[in-house]
Amino acid sequence: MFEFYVGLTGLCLSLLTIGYISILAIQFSLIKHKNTERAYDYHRLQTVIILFFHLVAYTVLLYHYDFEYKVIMIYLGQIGLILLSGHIVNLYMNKTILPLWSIGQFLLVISFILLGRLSINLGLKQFYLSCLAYVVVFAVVLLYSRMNFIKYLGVPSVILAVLMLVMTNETINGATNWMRIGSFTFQPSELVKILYIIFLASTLTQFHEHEKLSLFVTGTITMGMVMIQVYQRDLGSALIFYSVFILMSYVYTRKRMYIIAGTIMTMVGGFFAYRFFWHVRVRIDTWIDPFSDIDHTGYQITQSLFAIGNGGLFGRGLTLGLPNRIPVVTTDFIYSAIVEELGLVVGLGIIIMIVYFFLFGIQMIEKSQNDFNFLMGSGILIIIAIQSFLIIGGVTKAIPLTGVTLPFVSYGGSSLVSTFIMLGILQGIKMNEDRHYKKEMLLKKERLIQQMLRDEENCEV
Amino acid sequence: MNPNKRLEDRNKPLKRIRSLIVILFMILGLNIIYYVIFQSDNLVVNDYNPRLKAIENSVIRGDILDSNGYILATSKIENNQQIRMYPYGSLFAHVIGYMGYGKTGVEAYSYLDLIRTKENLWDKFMEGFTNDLPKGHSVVTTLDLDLQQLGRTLLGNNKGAIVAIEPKTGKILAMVSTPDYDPNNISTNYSTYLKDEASATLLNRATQGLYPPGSTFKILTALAYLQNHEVSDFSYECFGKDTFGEKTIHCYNNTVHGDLTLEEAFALSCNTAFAHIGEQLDMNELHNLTEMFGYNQRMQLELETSMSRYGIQNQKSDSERAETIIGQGRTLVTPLNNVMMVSILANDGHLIKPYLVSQVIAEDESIIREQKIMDAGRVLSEAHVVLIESFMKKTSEEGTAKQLNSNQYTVASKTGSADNSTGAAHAWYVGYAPIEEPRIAIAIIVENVGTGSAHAVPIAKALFDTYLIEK
Repeated sequence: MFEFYVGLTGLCLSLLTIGYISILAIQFSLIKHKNTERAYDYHRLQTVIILFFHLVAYTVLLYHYDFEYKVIMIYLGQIGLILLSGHIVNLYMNKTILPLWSIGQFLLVISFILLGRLSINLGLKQFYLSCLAYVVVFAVVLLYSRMNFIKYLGVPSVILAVLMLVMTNETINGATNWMRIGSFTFQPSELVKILYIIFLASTLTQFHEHEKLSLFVTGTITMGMVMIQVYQRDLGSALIFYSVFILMSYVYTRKRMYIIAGTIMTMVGGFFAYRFFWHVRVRIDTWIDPFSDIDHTGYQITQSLFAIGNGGLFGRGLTLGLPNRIPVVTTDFIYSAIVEELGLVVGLGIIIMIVYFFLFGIQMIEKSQNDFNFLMGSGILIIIAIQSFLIIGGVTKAIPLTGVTLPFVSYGGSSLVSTFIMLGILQGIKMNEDRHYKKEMLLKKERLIQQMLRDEENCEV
Repeated sequence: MNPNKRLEDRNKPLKRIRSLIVILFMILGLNIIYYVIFQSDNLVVNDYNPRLKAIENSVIRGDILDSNGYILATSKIENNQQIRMYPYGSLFAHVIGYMGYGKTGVEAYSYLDLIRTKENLWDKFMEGFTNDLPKGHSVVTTLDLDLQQLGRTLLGNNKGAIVAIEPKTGKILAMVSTPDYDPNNISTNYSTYLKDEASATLLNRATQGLYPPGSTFKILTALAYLQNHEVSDFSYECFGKDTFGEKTIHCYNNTVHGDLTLEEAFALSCNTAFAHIGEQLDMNELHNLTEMFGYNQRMQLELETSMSRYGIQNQKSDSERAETIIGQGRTLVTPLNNVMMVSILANDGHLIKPYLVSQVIAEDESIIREQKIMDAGRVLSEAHVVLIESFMKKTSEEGTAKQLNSNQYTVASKTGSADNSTGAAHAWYVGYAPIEEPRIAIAIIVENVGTGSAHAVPIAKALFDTYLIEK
C-alpha cells in the first residue's frame, strides 16, 4: 500500500517538475520579448507548484516518521518560510527578478525534502539556516542597492579574503578549508568567493585604462589564492577561482586570446598537477576507472553511481532507496540521493533550473548600465554555474570529482548563506540600476522644466 | 558612442559564455541519462552495491527450466527465508550453477532476469493487501533433461565431460562435467571441494577444461592441407612409426597401416601419415584456420569459458611440427570448442553460435525475451566441408568409430586418444548425425581411460541412439 502510494508520488513530483520548467521556458521567452509583466503573472502559479511539491513529498515523510509532532511542525514552519519570503519579495521589492527567487525557492524545497528524509534533525537545522539566509539576503539587497561605494572596496575585500583562507584550521573530508571558533565551524571559502568577485570587479573597472596591468595584478593574486587552496586540498574551490578568473578576463577584455591562453594553461597546469601532486593524480585515476579500486579511492563515486543507476525515470520513491549508504550524502553527494529517490526527471529538472537561473540572470545583467555592476553580476552567475557543474558532473562521473556544494541544495550554513548573498547581490544590482535610472530621469525632467521656464521668460521679454 | 551599441559590444563575451555553459550542462544531462537508462543493470549487479540485497529479498527468485519445462532450479520460502532448491541434485551442477556461496552458471548469468518482475503500480497496490512476494521471471534453457541424465550415467565414475549441441540453432542440449557436486548443499562442502585440487570438482570441464585435442585435431590439419592441395596429391606408406627431427612418432599400438590415401589415413587416424603432412603444410595456414575455429579467443557463452590455445614454439622444428599436427603439441582445447568444430561442419561451414538460455518468461507466461539464432557467417568453403564429411563418414563406417555403423542413421565422426602427463590417454570423440540433416553434434572426453574408440565411441552410440531413434 505504502509503496504504491510512494510510487504515485514519484510520478506526481516528476510531473510537477516538468510543469514548473515549462513555466520557466514561457517566462524566459516573454521577458525576451519585453513582456515582463505577463511573465511575472505566472509567479503565483509557480509558488503553487512549489507548495504542492512540498506537500506531496511531506505526506510521504509524515507517514515515514509516524506523524511525529516534530515533523508536522517542521512542515508548517517551512510553509511559513516559503509564503513569508515570497510575500516580502513580492511586496517590498518592486522590480524584483522573480524567476531567480522562485528557482532558489524550489531548489531549497528539494533540499528540505531530501535532508528531512535523510535525517529529520538535519532537515530542521537546514530550515533554521535558511531562515537566517533569508534575513541575510534581504539585508544584502537593501545594502547593495544603496551602497555605491562598494566598487572602491576591492583592496580591503581581497585582504580579508586571503586572511580568511589562511586562517582555516579544521580538516573535514580531507580538505583543510574550515574555520573553527569554539563549537562553531564554517567554510570561509564560501564567503571568500564573494569577496573575490568584489575585488575582481572593482579592480578591473577602476583601472580599465591600464588593461594589461590590472589583469596582471588580479591574475597574480588569483594564482596565489589558487595555490593556497591546492595546498589545502580544496581542489574544487581552486578550480572555481581559476575558471572564474579566465572567464571574467574574457568578459572584461572581450579578447578571445584570454580564453585560449587559459585553456592551454589549464592543460599544462593539469598535466603538471597530475605528475607532481599525488592527490590530483588519485582524483583523475579514480575518475577514469573508479571500479578498479572500489574499496578505497573509488568508493565514493561508485556508491554514487549505484544510487543514480537505481533511480529510473521517476525514482525509487522517497524513503524507498538507500541514499544513506552514499558517502557525504548531505553535502557533496546530495544530487545522487535526489536522482535515486526522486528519479531522472527531477534530476534533469534541477539541472535545467540551474541553467535557467543563469539565463534569467544574464537577461538582467545585460541591461546594466554600470560596468561594476555588470562585472559583479557576471562573476556571480559564472560562479554559481561552474560550482553546480563541478559537483553534479563530479558525482555523476562526467568529470573528476572535486568536493564543492550544490548551491541552494546542499546542507550547510556557509554554503546556504553565501548562495543567498549572491542571489541578494543580483537583486541589489537590479535595484541599484533602477534607482540610478530613476535619478537620471528626475534630473532630465528638472532640466526640461527649467528649459521650459527659461523659454517662457524669453517669450515674455 | 551610441549607448546601446556600447552595451551590445560589452555583452558579446557573456553571450558566448552563456552558450558554453548551456552546452556543458547538456553534456551533463546526457551523461546522467546514460547512467540511469543504459547503465542501470550493470550497476545493480555489483557486490558492492548495498541495493542488491534489498532487491533480492523483495521477490521470490524465478525458476530455471529445461527445454521441456522440467524445473531445474526453484525457490521456496521457509521460516521467512528464501531457499534455492535444485530438484535434480548434482545433475546440472556446472551448467545451472549455484546460489548463496557466490553465483555461478546460469544462476549468475540470468541473475537479474530471475529477480525481475513485470509488476506495475497496480500490482504493487494489490500486494499491499496480500503480503505475498511477487515471483521473478523464469528462465528457459536449451537443455534436455533425458539427454543430460543419460550422459551423466554414461560417464559414471570417470572424470570427463560431454557437450551436445543442435548444430542448426546452436542450442546446447546437454553439458555434463564429472566429478560433480550437489548445489543444494554447496555451502557446507565448498571448502572441501576447494581443497581437492586433483579432482577440480567445481571446474566445469565442458567449457573450462583444457585438453590436448589428440587426433580430433586431424580434422583441422586435413582442412589446412586441403587449402593448397588436392586429395589425390597425398599418398603415404605407414610402417607403424617414423622419425621426424629427433622425435619418433608412433601409430597407436604401433599398428602398421600400409599404403594409405588421405581418406584412409584420416579414418584410421594414422599418426605417421599425418605427421608426414606436416612436411608439406604451411603452418601459418593452420594457425589461421584454428583461429577461425575459435582458438586463441574466448568463446562467447552464458557460462565462463576457457580460451582454447593453438601453440607452437618453433615452426622450423620438424619434431614440434609433427607433434602439433597430430594434436599432441602445445595446443589445448575445451570440449565446447571441439563440439563447435564439428557443428561448423554440420552446418556446411557456417558458424552458428552456441547458447544456453533460450527464453525469459514472466509469471503470467508472457515472453519477456527470446534468444535468436546467431549466425556468425561462413568460415569454411562448402567443397571442403563435403570432403571432410566423407572422411568422417568413412571413420564411422570402417575406421576408428566403426561401432557407430548403423542402418538407422549416418554419422560423421573423429576419435582421439590424447596422451598426457597424468596417466593413460584421454579418450576423445567428436561427431554429428545424421549427416543428411544433422540434429545433434557431440564432443566427449573421458580422462585417463585409454583410446577414444574403446571408451568414448560407446558413449556416443548410446547418446545418438537415444536422441535420434527414441525421440
